[in-house]
Amino acid sequence: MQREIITLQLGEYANHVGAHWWNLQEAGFIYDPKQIALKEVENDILFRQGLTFRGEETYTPRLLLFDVRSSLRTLPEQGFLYKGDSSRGGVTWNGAIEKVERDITSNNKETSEGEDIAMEVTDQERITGACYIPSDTTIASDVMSWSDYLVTQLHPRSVNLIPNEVEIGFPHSNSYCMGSLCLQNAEFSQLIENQLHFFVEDCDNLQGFQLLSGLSDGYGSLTSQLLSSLSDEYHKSGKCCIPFLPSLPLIDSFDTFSPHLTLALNLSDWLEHASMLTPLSNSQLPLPFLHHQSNSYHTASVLAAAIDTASLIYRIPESGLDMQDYTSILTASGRKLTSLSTLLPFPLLRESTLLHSLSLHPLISAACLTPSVHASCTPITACNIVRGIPPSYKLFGTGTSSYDSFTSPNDLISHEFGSKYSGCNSFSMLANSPLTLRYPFPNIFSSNITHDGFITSHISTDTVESRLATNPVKSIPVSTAIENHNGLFTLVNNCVELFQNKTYLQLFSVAQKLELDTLQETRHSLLDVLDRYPVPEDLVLQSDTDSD
Amino acid sequence: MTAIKELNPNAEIARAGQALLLNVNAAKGLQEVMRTNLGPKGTMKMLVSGSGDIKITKDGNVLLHEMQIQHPTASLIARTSTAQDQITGDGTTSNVLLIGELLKQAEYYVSEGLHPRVATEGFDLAKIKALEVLDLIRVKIGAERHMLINVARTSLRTKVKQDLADLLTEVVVDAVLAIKREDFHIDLHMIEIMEMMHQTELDTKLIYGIVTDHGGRHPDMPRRIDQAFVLTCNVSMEYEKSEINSSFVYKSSDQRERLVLAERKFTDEKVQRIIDLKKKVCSGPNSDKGFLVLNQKGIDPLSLDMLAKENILGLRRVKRRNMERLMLACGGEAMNSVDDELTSDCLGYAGVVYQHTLGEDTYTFIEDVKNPASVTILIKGPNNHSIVQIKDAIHDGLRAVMNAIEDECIIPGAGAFEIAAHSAIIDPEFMNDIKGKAKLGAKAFADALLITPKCLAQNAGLDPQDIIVKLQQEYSTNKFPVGLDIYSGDAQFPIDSGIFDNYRVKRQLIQSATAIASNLLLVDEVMRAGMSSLKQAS
Repeated sequence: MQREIITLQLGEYANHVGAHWWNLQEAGFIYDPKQIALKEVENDILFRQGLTFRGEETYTPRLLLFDVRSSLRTLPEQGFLYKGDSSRGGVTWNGAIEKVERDITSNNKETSEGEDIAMEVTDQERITGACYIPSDTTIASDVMSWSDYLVTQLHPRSVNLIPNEVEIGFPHSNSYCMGSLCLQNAEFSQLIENQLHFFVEDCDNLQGFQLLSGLSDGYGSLTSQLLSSLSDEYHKSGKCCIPFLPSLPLIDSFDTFSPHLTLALNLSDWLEHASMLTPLSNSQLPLPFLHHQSNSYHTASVLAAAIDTASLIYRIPESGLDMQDYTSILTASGRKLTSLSTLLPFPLLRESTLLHSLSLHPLISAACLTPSVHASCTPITACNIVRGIPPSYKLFGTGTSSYDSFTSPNDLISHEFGSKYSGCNSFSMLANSPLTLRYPFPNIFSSNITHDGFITSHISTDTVESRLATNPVKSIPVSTAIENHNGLFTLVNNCVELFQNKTYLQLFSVAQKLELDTLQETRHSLLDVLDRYPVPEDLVLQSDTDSD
Repeated sequence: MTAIKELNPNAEIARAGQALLLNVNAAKGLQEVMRTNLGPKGTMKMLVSGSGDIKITKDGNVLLHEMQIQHPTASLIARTSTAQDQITGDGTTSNVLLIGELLKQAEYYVSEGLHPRVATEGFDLAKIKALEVLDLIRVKIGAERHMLINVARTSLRTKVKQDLADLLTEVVVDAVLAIKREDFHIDLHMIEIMEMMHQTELDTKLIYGIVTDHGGRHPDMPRRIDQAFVLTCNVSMEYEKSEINSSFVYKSSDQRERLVLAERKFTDEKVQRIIDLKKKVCSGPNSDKGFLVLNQKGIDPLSLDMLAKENILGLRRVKRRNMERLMLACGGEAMNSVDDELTSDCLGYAGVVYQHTLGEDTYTFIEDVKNPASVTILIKGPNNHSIVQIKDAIHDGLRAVMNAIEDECIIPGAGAFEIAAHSAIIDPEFMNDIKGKAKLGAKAFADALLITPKCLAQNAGLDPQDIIVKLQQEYSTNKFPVGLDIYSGDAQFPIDSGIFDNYRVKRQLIQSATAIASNLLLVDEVMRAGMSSLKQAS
């Protein structure tokens, strides 16, 4: 039975990641009827079929996204697909009409180009895989918003704009109260109820929600509010949350303190209602084989590739797991925080064997995308996914008799994971389909990656730019691991420590119109979370010095 | 210079005359933007976004929301006007105009040496007088339909085209009268507003019943039911795992099959109870009647199938706010379980239920109900922006009708109040009571009030000064509220021609505009320092 998932994206960065993710998914669609047997991923879980007023069929994400109007740029609020009949009726007024142009600044060269990208991909090109690639590789610097490179068409109910009155304070980090302010706007909260209802009612058997959001800004608190209403109404559905943690400056004044505390408050709210939380960092991704810049367009593409792979577990029906099962296995003993690490690409040497590749680039070297994780902790539970090892790829060469009993890549990978995670409740899944990349996914791979994702020993002399034009990377194997381990202690601990600064706490409570008691309650609930983790030996928790 | 400069060299300051100028210019600027929108002959504004989305409106509140106002003073005024809308539902444009005009008139006297403090004292005295006049000329009403029609029409004609305004007038008045209950506060939430991108604006109508924007999700379910029993419930009819951490343990596919069936049985039993009830009530003399299930929780395909086989129409995921309305409209009780208490007493009734499909959207109409204490306004329009425009207008229209009922009085419109208040304030009898230069403040206030009739005249293509003189003359001869007929340019009696405004809108307008204009006048130093957010905003 098909089990649908609804995605919520809140905030600019979440929408950057989301845009890449939907693009990646759409790049992975199989249109050729001959290859339909290869289909693994059930796209209907995240996408829905629809019908426009003119009877045209559509396929759009089950998605609600939240952003401010300026991020939409050339993307109409209602999307491109479901245009009403504007030829009829039109203006119902006898008198004069004044025309007022808004956002004139955004009408520049790049946006019209961005629109071209979205329109350029036709069905024919989808089948043949051919696609228009601009000669200008400096697109990264031209991208001003996620809507510039979003290829996937959205349903008119997907886009939700933050009300204008609260918009001004929204991007700023000292905006914990913005979320509740948003929902106090009756029109906005009714809009959300209607939009969400549309997607939920459409589902035959709702599996759960995925939430992508910033954590330390106003969107984080809006997400808290949405989460609590979701858990109220759909308490049996899974709620997988992926918060994005920016690299916050060190605390040296109240201005730098308040985003940290906002993060702590939101984290505590989220932990209460979500089924699983996988915080990801959007800065300094320590990945070999990648040359990416630090702008949102590039970092988001890396995170999107990892999330796409990690979410395969509930998107491939054969896995037999749905979101509830999956999260309940991973979040053992009430620890809802998990970390995500990835090998992107999964290092397969060209003309070599899997065993040899693994020995050169062991799974243990996977880069952790979750920040503030106390390193080198053995996970308690883990879920590993490896995708895109070609069936023809040799497992091992001759003369390695100890591995003769392994007959499939799955056996070998499981064995490797087993040795990595000894004493851990882990499960792994192998998917055949690699991650398909297509423009506008940025070309972030170093020059020793071939177009089909292998690593070659001879480094091509071409520059990255010249290779993009001739032979871009089309697909790569990826592995990800979602882990629940003691190292996540650090993140919560950092949050708890914030509450020791009484002066700033008081300032914060005044600035955000919060009771000090509320802040203390949050502190206690974070301490409760902390109690579930054993104290690492080299990290002595500061003792509870409070008199209350 | 000032202390702040010592502390923060980047601080920007404006003092005394400069500060006043800053505020007055902002207020005048905002007034300039909005003044063309006032009245039935005002212009529409078409807002075009970077992506080509359009919005067409002349509603002051909508405009203030949509225009991203950056000037701090202007945004202060905009917020006051928005508050005006939240409290009374209308009068936003007038508010902006009045604040701008008050500052403009006061600026003249202040530049001649009047201290702003004295000017505001004059404002306050004049305001009290204006409120007295407001109480004097109000017309007492009950909830008579024709009077409410007058109020709603006056409000709506300033928002949408005349033929559409007249249609919406009937719709909003009838909607409010339908949900009005003796001795109860009117709850506008009991009026559901549903949009349908279909036909034209003039097909917008009031439905005595409920319209939901979803339908039965099974092809075999009836599309139309005459005389339906209605069951509203909040019971999950989806296959659910009994425990989060449970898993199947089985040895063969046969065993697995049985386990699935056993878990499924739990859900099936609930559906079966509803079917049993249907069979019970739809028997004998009632055998030609239908059955409608409205469930707040989900219904999965297998359960839908069971219902469809019994010719029951089942709607899943009914909105929470609609549950209350459904009970009010159809009667019956919302059931939280389908145990023993599920009897025919819990059922409501609807005369006719039918579905209408547009593209992927299905609408279910539940009409001809026992007791239409909750109604639906169905907005139709060929495209999104016309629907939004009607929605904004209906919102204001409903508020106007509700205000009139709650105030139990209304005010003659078309500028009649402003003319009357002006002449009462400049009347020597009143002026002589004011001591000293505060007289000038009162005079400025009186002149500022005239902005409303002036703008009405100007937007109608008439000469404002001509009109003001004509109206004042008319008023002084017969002392009866006299307003402007924008079509002929002559004076008219709004009470005879049925042009009425809301009492509370005018009252709130005078109070908040005076307060904010006084505050702005008294500002003698504006500084901008620190606060990164402020800097970015401006």
